[in-house]
Amino acid sequence: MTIATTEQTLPSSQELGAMFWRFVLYAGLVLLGFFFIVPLAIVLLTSLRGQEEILKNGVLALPSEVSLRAWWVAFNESCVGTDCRGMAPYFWNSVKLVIPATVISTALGAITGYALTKYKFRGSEFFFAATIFGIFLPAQLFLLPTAQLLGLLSATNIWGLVLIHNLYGLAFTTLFFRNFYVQIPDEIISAARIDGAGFFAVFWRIIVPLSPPIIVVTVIWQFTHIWNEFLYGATFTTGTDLPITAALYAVTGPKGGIRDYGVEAAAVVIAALPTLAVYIVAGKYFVRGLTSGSLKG
Amino acid sequence: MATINIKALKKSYGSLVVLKEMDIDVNDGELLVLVGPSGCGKSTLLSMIAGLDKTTSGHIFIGDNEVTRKHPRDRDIAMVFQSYALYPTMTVRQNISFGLEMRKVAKEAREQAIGDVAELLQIGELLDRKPSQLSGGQRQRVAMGRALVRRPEVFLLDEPLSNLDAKLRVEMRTEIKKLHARLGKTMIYVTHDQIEAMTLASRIAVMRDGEIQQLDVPRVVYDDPSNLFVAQFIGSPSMNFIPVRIERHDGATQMTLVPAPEQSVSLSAKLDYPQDGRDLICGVRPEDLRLVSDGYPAAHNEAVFSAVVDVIEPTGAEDLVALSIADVGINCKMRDASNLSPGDNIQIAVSEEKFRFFDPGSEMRIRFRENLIESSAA
Repeated sequence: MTIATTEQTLPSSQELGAMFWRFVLYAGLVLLGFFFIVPLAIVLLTSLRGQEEILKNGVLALPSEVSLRAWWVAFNESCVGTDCRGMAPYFWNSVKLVIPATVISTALGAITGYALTKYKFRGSEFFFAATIFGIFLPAQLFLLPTAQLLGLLSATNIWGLVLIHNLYGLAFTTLFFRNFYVQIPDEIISAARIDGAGFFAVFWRIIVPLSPPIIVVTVIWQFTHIWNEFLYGATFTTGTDLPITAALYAVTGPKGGIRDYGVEAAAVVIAALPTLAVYIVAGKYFVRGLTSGSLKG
Repeated sequence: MATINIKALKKSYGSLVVLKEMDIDVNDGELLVLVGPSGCGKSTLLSMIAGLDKTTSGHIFIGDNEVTRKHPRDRDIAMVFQSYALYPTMTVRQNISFGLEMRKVAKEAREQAIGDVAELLQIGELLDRKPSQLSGGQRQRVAMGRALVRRPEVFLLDEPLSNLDAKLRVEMRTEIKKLHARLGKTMIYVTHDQIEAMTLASRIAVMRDGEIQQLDVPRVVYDDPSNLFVAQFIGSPSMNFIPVRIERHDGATQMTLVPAPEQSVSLSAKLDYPQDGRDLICGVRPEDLRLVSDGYPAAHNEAVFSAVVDVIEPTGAEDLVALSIADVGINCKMRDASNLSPGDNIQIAVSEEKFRFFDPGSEMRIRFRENLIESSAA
């Protein structure tokens, strides 16, 4: 008994060692967390400070006076090249790009994923493998052929980007939907076919109602990727057709000339805001959708 | 009027042959049970009748129509799956209604039909629930309801009771039998459970390795198995088998147990077998063996063997006794084995006509001459 109680009050050297390593682990995690949050914090803080204050106190300082001036200027008055209408038109460019590209690529992925799992045909496994191969091909590889294609279609604008993101995104969306639909028992599809449903009736009435978890995952994935995409945006569009990521590269303060750190920081935050918002609103569904397993009814 | 005629049906995946050339004729209103161990091709055959699997060659007729290449919806069939395959996002009502909607049945007619089926299967209070809120037995009923509501000519049931617990399985078995009697529709029922097969079937088709071993009414399949496989597959506990040697001396037929050569009995019946002195396999059902006692001595047409009691398993209604003759295990069903104990040496008797003989090489049944004459006369 006495031995047991002393053991409880005085931790053994083994337990002390475990506590020490636990402390080291948490300290390391806190440090890493700090490391990752600092850039965002600096950008956010800078976007709230005035230009004179930044020049006087340096970039790494807390705001002495909080002001939304830089945000307003960045959105409405900043210049991209010679165009001084602010980030707004480029923001809307990205919105016009991301919505159709996300919606169409998700819908197409759902249909191809469904066909590849539930209407297998000779060679369907090869088709799937070939589609998935697209994921592993680097985007730069497509630059030249894509440029020629878009030139041929005279689509070096937002709609060209919509097309490209649909084609490139189809590999991902097909993979997501295919892996989700593999878990749906084939007997359900057989039952529906005997009940009289054809390819699209099964899709709409049986498959789509089961799909919300994977639709959320795919939409978030496509939305963030397309919104954040820079290479295609910078390569295939020019002037006022640039998406926000490409425009951000060239943003300056109003009237050009002197760098306005506050405005640049605000422009960065504006460009990042939609994807942040999507993660904050739907992030838990993303995790839930990725980990959702059983579909047993 | 829905007969099902299967003519020279084959199925293979590349070089793997799943169904060898198969001919089956199912009569109108019959309940044909396809039974066999897993991998025997019974579910594949059912899928091909349903139109879910393509045929490699051969023809399938339902009624007067050839349906070999028709879409499942155009075959006038309904199917019940082992997993029930209910649509998970739909309520019970929508599940049952789906097939009618796909066939463009008017709303009032659908409501009427759902009401009828719900009453028949007593699932009225479940109509607004989702499948995930149902117990196994309830799901089974809904799956039946979904099949019944369209009033098809043919019902295909793929191990519909396998996912239920033992008690519910027996209940639902009776219900399916009642339903069949009431509807009078043609049904094909796949199971690996030979008791289900025996209790439900108008006729049983015993399958192995993509071939039908025997197709007949349950009583004949049980009493008159056509080969060793059918004999051991049908019946629980399984038929007992012991290697024997048959010899003829002066017109009498002598049967000697190969594992226990000192045990030999003479048979009054003559075996229709061309050669003397060949080894055969003798089969006897556990319920055809009985204990010989002073109060119930062996009769003149009974063969008597000595055996040692190994284990006694009371099941309530009867006692299951595991015996051994030499090192061959023999199961025996007795009404009351309470006066026996393991290690006892006992005498067991069996009527001569209960012996079933099989060729050890071909595994085919070898019949008594008398039986052959009788059956050819009939």
